[in-house]
Formats: sequence, structure tokens, C-alpha cells
Amino acid sequence: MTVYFDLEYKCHVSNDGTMTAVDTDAFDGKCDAYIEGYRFVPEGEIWVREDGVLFSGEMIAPWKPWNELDVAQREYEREQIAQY
Amino acid sequence: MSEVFITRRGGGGAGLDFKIVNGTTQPTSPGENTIWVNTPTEITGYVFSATQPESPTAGTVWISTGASSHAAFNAMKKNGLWVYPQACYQYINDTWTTKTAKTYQDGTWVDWITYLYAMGNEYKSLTGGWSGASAGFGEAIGSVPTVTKGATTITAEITTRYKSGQLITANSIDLSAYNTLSFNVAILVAGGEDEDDYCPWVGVFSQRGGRYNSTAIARAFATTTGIIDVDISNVAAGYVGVGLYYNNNVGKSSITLSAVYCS
Repeated sequence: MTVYFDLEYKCHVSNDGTMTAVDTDAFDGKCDAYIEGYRFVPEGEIWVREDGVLFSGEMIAPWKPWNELDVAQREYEREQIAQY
Repeated sequence: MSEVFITRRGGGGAGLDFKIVNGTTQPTSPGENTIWVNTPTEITGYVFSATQPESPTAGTVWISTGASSHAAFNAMKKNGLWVYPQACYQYINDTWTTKTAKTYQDGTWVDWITYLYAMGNEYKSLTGGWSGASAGFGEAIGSVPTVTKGATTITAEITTRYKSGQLITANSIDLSAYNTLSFNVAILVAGGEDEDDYCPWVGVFSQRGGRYNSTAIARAFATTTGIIDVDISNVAAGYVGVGLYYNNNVGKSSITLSAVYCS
């Protein structure tokens, strides 16, 4: 799937015209709320966290509390099952 | 960040308010800001630096620094020079070797980081031990990797084509106090000719087993040896480990770790 990341490497499911597109299977089966709680740092790029620690891509990591993203994903999966 | 300074073993020179000592037994009467490096090897000098020092001499201790630490201290008797130690290495036999270190502060020894694996120690009271687990990857079928536990490293490998698995902690680890998960990769074999697609993954998973491409909470590609960091600042807990997938032509997918730690 295609996701988009902004200058802070935060993921988005749609592009506001300023973002970079990436084709990845890292979020296959995940709902939009889950995806948009993540950072995607592509290979060859480096994200500098606000405390100065460097992270080299490819790396994915949540920028929102993962427990909240997991709740959203489980609700999404329940909704998917309920449809059938 | 460039190298801060180098001085001889003992530190504590004029103006400095810390001391670095070696030994395999925790010092019994330490002064404030005594840094104890758990090593039998004489410390010939030390470097505080965020990046690996170039051209070290044998016995040099490298104290890796960052912007935060559980054992931050003011290095000067007067004025302020705050240092944030995170990890410790010593140059032995032409290799940077992970060493545990602690600082004596306010009457107690403070750990810099929390190890989950280091130099043969699995820290079982915390991790429950490290072992292989069958875990799928995409359409690949899971298989338990072959795990070899050496004196100073732990290795996992998948040698059957189109199989995948994990080397992973038995316990879910409470990561709420940490921001960074680090893997010190000593040896690496990507499981296929396209390294990007078939390199091992290092990180935190929501479970042992399952399909590790779906259960990964935070992960990085292991494409080179050395230290690989994963941001876990928004991860409260999880199983720490590695995912391996062997695709074709290179014989196996394999990873050898010398240390895994949280800071």
C-alpha cells in the first residue's frame, strides 16, 4: 500500500501535497487511525528525535502511545468481522 | 557530537568531579560520581562521545553519550559540564566490546541502561530467557530458528528456504521507562539476494510467534553490523527480539547479537 510521510516522518493515508509517498507492506491490514499514529523512516534517511538520538531507516515506530493504536485496530477488526 | 575529551585512567584531575575505575567486583567505598566499568582489563584511557572513537588504543573505554541518561552527572567540580552516559565499550583485541557500567550517586549505584542480553548473560529474571519461536512472515511459514548460545554472543538462523522465525524474549518486557531499544549486531546474513526485503528485523513485538510482520510494534531493518536503535518512546511493553526470513540463494538468514539494551 501507499502511505505518505511528512517532514517529521509521521505517516498519513492521504497527501496534502507536501508529503512523500512510499510503497510499503508495513501497514497491511491496519486501519487509518493505526497508520497515522506511526513514523516511517525510509532506508537511507535519518530521523533525529527531540532528545538528539539518531534513528536510521528503515525504521517504523509509533509516535502515539501504541496501546491507543492497538485499541483502534482491534475495534477496526471487530467492525470488519461484523460486516460478515 | 564530536569527542569531548580523553584522559588517562583514574580521571579525577583538577576540576573534574568523577572517577573511572575497572574491576570485576563492585567497589565498596566509592566516592560520588565514581564510574565502575565491570571489566578485568586495565583502562588505558577513556572517551566520552556520541560516536564511536577513531583509532583507539587497546584498553580504551568509550562511554557513549546522549541527550538523556539515568545516570547524568556534572563532570566538573566548578561550573557545569553535564554528561549523559548511556552505554560503555572497551577496545579489546581490536574490537569494541560491550561492558556494563554503573555510577555511584547519592549513596547508591545507578545503572546506566537496562540490559536484556549482554555477553552471554540473558538477564533471565527480566527476560525469562531468549529462545527461538516459530513465526510467519508474509506468506512464509513459521519455523523455530536454530539458536546457538555462545559465551559472549547469541545466534539465530533459519536455513530452510521460505521459512521464517524469531529469536525473542520469553517475557513481555515493561518498556515504559525507556525511549530507545538498541541491538548490537555482531554478525549478519540477510536471507536473500535483495537484502532490503530479506534482512532481519530487530524490535518489539506484541507476541511471540504469529506473523512477525503483523505483530511488530516498533522495528528496524538490520542491514549492517553494529548498533541498531529503535524508538520505543511510545511503546509501553512488548516482546523484544529479532525476526528472520530465508528466501533464497545465500544459504540462510542469520543474526548474531552481542548485546540488547534499553535506555
